[in-house]
Amino acid sequence: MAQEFACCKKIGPFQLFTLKFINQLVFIFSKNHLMDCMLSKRPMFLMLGIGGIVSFVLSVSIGSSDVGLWELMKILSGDYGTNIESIFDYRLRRTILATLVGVSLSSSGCAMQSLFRNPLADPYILGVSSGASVGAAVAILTGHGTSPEIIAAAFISSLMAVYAVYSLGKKSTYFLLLAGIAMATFLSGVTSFLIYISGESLRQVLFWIMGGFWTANWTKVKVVLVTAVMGTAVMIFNSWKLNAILLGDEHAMSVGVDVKKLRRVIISTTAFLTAGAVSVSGVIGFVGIIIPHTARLVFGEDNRILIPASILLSAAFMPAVDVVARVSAPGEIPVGIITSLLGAPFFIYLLRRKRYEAQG
Amino acid sequence: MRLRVEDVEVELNSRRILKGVTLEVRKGEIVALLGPNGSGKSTILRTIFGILKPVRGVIYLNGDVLNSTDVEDAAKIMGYLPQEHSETNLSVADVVLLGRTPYISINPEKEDYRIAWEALKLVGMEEFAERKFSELSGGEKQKVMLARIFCQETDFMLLDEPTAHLDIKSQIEVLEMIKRITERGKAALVAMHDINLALNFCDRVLMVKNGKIIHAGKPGEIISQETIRDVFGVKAEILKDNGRIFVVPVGIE
Repeated sequence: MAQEFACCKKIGPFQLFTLKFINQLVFIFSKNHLMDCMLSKRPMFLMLGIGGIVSFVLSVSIGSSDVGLWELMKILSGDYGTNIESIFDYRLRRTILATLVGVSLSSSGCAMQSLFRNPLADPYILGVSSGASVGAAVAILTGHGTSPEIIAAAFISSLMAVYAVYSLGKKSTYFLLLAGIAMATFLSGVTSFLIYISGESLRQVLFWIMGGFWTANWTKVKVVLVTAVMGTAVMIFNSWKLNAILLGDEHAMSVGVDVKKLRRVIISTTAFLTAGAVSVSGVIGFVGIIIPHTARLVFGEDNRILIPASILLSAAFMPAVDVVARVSAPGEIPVGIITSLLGAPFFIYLLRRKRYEAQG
Repeated sequence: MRLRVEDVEVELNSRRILKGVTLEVRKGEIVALLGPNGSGKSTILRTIFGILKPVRGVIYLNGDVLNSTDVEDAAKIMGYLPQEHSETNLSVADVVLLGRTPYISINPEKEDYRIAWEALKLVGMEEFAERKFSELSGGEKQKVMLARIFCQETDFMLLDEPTAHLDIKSQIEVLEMIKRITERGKAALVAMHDINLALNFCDRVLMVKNGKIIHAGKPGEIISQETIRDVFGVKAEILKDNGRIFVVPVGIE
């Protein structure tokens, strides 16, 4: 496979990895009947794809400044001023960041819900978000407020929180969920305490906790690109085994799935994906539940289809929500607030509609 | 083709739940495990499949020691059907396809779909392929589960109460399917509650109590008022008709 790409000059190891990954996906999809399954849902996948593109274009061309689609065309044709270019550069990295964070949260949410056979399982249930918040708060309050420092602190502390939760709750799913809740409560207490004693840097920490993409820079994009690509690849490769677990742990074992190993893999991948997302964007709630759930209502429970569908759906959803966050108020509203305000009613609408359908 | 369990002991939370179990299942046989709730029927099946590890004793497959430390390998030799399952909206075809998991690297391929389809036809459920598993009746679900086991293409089947919660017709249908399959040169070890069904469908009966097999043999040889009382603590009449045996419980001892 490497030779195929070698002809493209100026290609870094990272791009090579990404291309190989895409190639591998195409190979897997074309080799089996999955393609047929997906083709049977073709209109919906097509809609999701178009939705993603529309949302991307909107997000790049709408903002608080007047620079819009027409100027974007000018840039593409090579006729532009540096001011406009920098605006687009900012919007581009912000859009990519929003997409990748959405993809990370929704694919890990999807896998967690299948693993625990519970549609309400959230990627944050392992204590990732509260762990990251403590790390970020400590970094900000100790004067290490630069972007790479906050990312590193949040990433490491969230992984530590998950590790603690996992070691406490290894025994069973219930222990794990209870340990997650206990850890989240404890750590948010720690964060509140840090904010309380901090005084003036409070606003920065609070904003960080609410989550948003306005501080987007290319470093953040690179960090979350690595975690998102690697993490979603693991989820996609394990989607059949996740199907086996839907019938119960013992059924999964009876068809040869090492359930303990799978649980370790999925939980550590979820930790990796969400730590990446949270450390660059703060805590954006509800995406990890609402996107997989919406996809589940439309595409069914088969993880081979559900995980790609969730990825596409979040790629359409997240930048669009970010546009709303940008234009709905002078200045900026943290996108986490928007996801909750928009997401919850939409979610309830979906549930109600589904119920009426079921009743005929 | 022979599965032999020799003097196996299993502990759970430092309590001994199997106390020296010895049994053998040979090609073409259906062997029933009969015994009251909590006697250790499911534990025997779980231990053979490798979910529980024995503290003592050995399991032999065709004379070789079976080190079933890895469920991935066990699933290619034995098709194990647990008693309970969670509800899922997966399609019937996908549930059957899960039986191919031991042979699948990432996702099922065309050959797997073909084998799954054959298995569905074998249990007469091909018309249900696109239906959601959760929408089926208990009997239909159990047939789909059997199809899942069949497409695992194993020599041995370990079935934990495959007829539980089923109506009479479904019970017979399920057992006849198991019989058809074993006649093709496979073997089945089936935990059961319905004594009369076991006596009429199985070649041999193992009676389990308190983690031990206390009576074993052909139905006609071991079923008596005494053995039923021993194992179940129930007073029963034994009726014989044309070589068929029926146990009618009449009261508690």
